Amino acid sequence: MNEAIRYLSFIFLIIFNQILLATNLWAIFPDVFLVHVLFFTTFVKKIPNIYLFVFMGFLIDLFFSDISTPYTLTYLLIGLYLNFSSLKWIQRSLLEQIILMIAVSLLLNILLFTVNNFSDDMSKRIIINPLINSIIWVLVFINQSKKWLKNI
Amino acid sequence: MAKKILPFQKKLSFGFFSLFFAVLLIYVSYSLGLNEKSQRLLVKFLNVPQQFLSKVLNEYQEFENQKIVQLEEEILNLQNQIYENELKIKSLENSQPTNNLDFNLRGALDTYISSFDQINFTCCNKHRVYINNSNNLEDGIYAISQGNFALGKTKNISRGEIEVRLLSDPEEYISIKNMTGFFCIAKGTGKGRLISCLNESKAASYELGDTFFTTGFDGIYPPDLIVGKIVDISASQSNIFQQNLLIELFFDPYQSIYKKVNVHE
Repeated sequence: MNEAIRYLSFIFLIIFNQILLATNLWAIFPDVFLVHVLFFTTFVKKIPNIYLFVFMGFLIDLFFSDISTPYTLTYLLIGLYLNFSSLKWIQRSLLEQIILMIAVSLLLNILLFTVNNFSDDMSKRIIINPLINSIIWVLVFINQSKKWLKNI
Repeated sequence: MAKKILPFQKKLSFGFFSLFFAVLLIYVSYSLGLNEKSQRLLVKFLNVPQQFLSKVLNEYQEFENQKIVQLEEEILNLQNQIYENELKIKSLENSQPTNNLDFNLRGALDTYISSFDQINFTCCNKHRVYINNSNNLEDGIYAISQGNFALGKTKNISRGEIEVRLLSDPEEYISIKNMTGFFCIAKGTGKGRLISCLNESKAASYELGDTFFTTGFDGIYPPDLIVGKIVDISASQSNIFQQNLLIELFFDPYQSIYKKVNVHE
């Protein structure tokens, strides 16, 4: 069931991201794919293997990038990190999580803007997006941390 | 719930193969131009619901626009009705007891005011409105009224339009009377909706607020059309026995555009 939800939500997000791009809201919106990965690594017990991460990143790049690099590489790094780390993502401190979120978002956006030719209006995303992504994560963390402490 | 830790060698091989996998995918997509194709596919895929949505929205907008047009038409019709009813009320308020209001309009042709020369009305001694020549009138001088209210007479008649000189125009004269039998020839003042006349009949009396009607003596205006009421009485400077009567016309050109008028043949 979780797998089905993961793939369906992924397809839905591809369409949603296209709408965001078409309406110029993409620049001020959190990166829906990063948020998607965050939710699944947080709420689903079994983390998918690295190849699936790479393939999902590749699929996103196919639709939203001129060269299949930004999401493929970012997802590769995320997959490696989540699979190789000794601690679960939710077991890390909030500060560490925020720093990682900002770093990954920044890397992703730099790659996106290097590979693609976005309009000048979109360039504000490089700054805004890491902040919004981390704010979203902080909100999730505040809501869920008590439950996590019980389950760990 | 401790996490399973992978040995270093496995990590290394996983890392290497996943990187190889990523590079392979990037290379394949680049060499086959998959990105462009899939982006076009996504645009095409989303184009169908987008077109459907925009069609639905357009139809809804069209429907709303039609409703707006209908409502605007209704408002315009109601405004016209209100205006005409107000005219009737004024007409009844100012009519003579013996006067048959409908009689004045018998045989008159209906048409509409198409424009009003507002600039010349305000600045200069040229008071004109233009009416549609829907009845294809040819040369001649015709009296024009709006309901029972005298308006002026025709000046130039062309195929599509008739120029009407208002009573307030300085070149316009009209024979008028009040209910007590006072007669005079009034002349346009060129100022707003005012005409003036001199008292020539000492026998009859008049006072402020008296309503004046057409006499019909001039052979152009039919008798008993309502003209205006006295707003000022002043002594004549040339003759101490004469008085100058200032009469305000009931017809208001500012409210007259696109309203019905009658042409008296």
